Amino acid sequence: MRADRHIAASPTRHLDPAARFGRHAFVMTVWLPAGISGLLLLAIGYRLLMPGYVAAGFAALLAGFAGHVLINVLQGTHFSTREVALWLVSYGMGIAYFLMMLLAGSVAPRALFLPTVLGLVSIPIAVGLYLVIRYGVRRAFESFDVISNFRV
Amino acid sequence: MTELLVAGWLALAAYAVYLAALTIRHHPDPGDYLDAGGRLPGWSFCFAAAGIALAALIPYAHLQFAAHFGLAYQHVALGLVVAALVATLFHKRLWLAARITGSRGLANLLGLHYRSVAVRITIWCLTLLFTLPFAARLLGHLGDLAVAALGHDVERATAIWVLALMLFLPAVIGGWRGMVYGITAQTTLGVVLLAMVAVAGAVHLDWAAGLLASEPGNPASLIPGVMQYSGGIGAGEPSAVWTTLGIFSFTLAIAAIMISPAVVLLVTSTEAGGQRTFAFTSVWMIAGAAMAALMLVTPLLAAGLVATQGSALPLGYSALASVLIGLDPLLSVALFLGVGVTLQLFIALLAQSGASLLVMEVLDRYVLPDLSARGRRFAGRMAVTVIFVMMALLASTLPVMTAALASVTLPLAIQALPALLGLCWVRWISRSAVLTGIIVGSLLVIFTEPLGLIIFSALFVELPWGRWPWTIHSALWGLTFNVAAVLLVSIFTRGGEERLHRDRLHDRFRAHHAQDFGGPAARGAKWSLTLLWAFFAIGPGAIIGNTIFSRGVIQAQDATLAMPSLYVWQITFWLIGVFIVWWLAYQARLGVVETKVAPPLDLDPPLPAFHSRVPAWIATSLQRFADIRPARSP
Repeated sequence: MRADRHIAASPTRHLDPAARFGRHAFVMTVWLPAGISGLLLLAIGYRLLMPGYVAAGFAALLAGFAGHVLINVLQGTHFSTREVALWLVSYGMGIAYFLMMLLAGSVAPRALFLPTVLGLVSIPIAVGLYLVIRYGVRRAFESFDVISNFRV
Repeated sequence: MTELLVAGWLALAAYAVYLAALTIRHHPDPGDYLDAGGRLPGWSFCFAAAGIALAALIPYAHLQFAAHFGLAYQHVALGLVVAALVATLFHKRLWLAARITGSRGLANLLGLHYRSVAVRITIWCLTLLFTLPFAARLLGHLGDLAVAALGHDVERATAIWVLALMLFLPAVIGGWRGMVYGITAQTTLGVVLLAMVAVAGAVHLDWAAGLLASEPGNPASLIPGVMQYSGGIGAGEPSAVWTTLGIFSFTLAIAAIMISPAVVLLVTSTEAGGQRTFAFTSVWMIAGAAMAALMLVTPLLAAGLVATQGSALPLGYSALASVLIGLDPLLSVALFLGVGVTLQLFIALLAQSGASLLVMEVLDRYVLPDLSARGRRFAGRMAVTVIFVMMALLASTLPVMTAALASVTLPLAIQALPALLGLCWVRWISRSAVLTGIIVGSLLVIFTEPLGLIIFSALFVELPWGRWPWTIHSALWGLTFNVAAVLLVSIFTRGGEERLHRDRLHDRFRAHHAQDFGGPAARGAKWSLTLLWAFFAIGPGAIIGNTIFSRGVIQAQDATLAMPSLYVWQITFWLIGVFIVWWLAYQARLGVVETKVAPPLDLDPPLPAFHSRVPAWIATSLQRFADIRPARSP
């Protein structure tokens, strides 16, 4: 019974396969433009060393996240495990790439350090806000409280 | 830039194929292939309809014309509000008619309602025009775009065939549902990329300077009059085409896309029961988002292009492409992809809908009525293949003929408006009236477009007028005479047994799906406000917008604005237009579908055994031909 107090492990299971695919197509409809425009803006910002473009790039990615949340609300679903995994991997790769460029001594990451770090920080903040708004502080915390899962 | 653009295009094509493959895996029922079993999710309709409305104006051409003709041409963007109004008026009723009668497709709906094979044939011809020359023309545009973007390194024909293949693969695999899912993603991508370029390109394009330079009196920021008494393009050349009547009549042609066979199939294959899908689409997606892309993005881009060029942009893809290539490479790629996907989604929709309608309305009904679901899917795939091959052939080998045929497609589509009014709202419009109107209207359209002018001058004599006489688009020429004919003929044919048949559907509408226009005052306000909006936004009243926000009324001094007066007028009437569409779609419930649909109605009773569906007049004509015998020699 404890499991249902956590954020659902298979959040789209109640949908039939066709509806699940429909949701996938809907999610892609949001992420395709948000992802492409976000990456293009980040690339332009890094090429021209203009913080405005970098901020706009992160704003596009956040807009994609907001769109994804909206789809979940409309369809009564949550983020699926695969979606969360993909997000974590992409986010981790983004941070790793930024750190590698920084360590390699590139000019762009130093010149754009502040907007990039703020952008990278804004994403987990947005995720945290979403969790708190949707599930409340306690349930949001419980879902990350891995220690309690090992309690006998 | 070339490598990045090609990679982007290929990635989009790969995504479309991936989506199509997933579609067929999750929806393996062969009956789904042609029309998604009538269960397309509402959200996909919202995005797809907005994309189609945007694509009807062909953003690449719109950008090019706006940079050449200025804000006078930009005014036609208000046509999307007209398209939203047309969608509000018809989509819900068409969906209901399809659900009540159990049929899909425009030809089936009109054919059943008017009990007329001639009406069916007319709509099939229209479908064919959309599917082949019109889509081929768009494919040609896409090919030109690709050639220009790739710096003329590839042949036009090669580009066209490669692009056709890229569009064909997802279509043949995924069917109707896969195609609709594909175009939803392309719609959002197109809108976002265009918006991104307009905002991010401010540095490169200097659009702010371009707009600020549009001071009062600048011809590029003025509508050149209500109309011009010229013979039309090619005969007594008008000094400017985009007069208020030119704009108004052109918006009618744009709005025709909302009642085209392809969009009606999209409407009738959507699952919309108990939802506000149609209202949301008309108000927020077409009049809102798609319109915003045209109203807020293209003028900025066009102003920026003019500022970069230093003068009005010459017509032609090369001029536009050369300016675009000069931008930041990433921005160029984004812009080329943005305008490219809007063309792609339109071509995909027209080809796929043509194939589906061909199988459902012709093959399944007349030729092979006992075809299994798998057989219908196979036939659909064959039809898609043939359509894409013919489309690519037309686009690559016969561009002039294709352009001539494509130019009459949208104006001819609007000639079906009285027939749709009869199906959805006005029960006294009769079959004879509809047919007479379509014939008269179509003749007017053909003879005010290059197609009729070329044929007539080649066969007989040169006509004394050219294209769009008096700067009135052929759509309005045709519709004016069409409506007059419909009214005249309906006076004499509005009753009789045929009327009883038409009343059956309208009685269902009245009993189960009545609208809520409110009391007499509210009803009057709704229609009068709509007409007033049309007069001032796209009608002769728009001429006031040239100077009203810039020329001093009380003081002699002109007001200094950051943008031209006409642009302010356009934005103002766009916002008022959104309000009107919202009022009609939500408050009058024109776009809200009730949870419970009226009981089914059989307008197509089963024929007795051994009875052919071929109408008597066609059978008789064929018999007469068959009975002709060569005269015996004495």
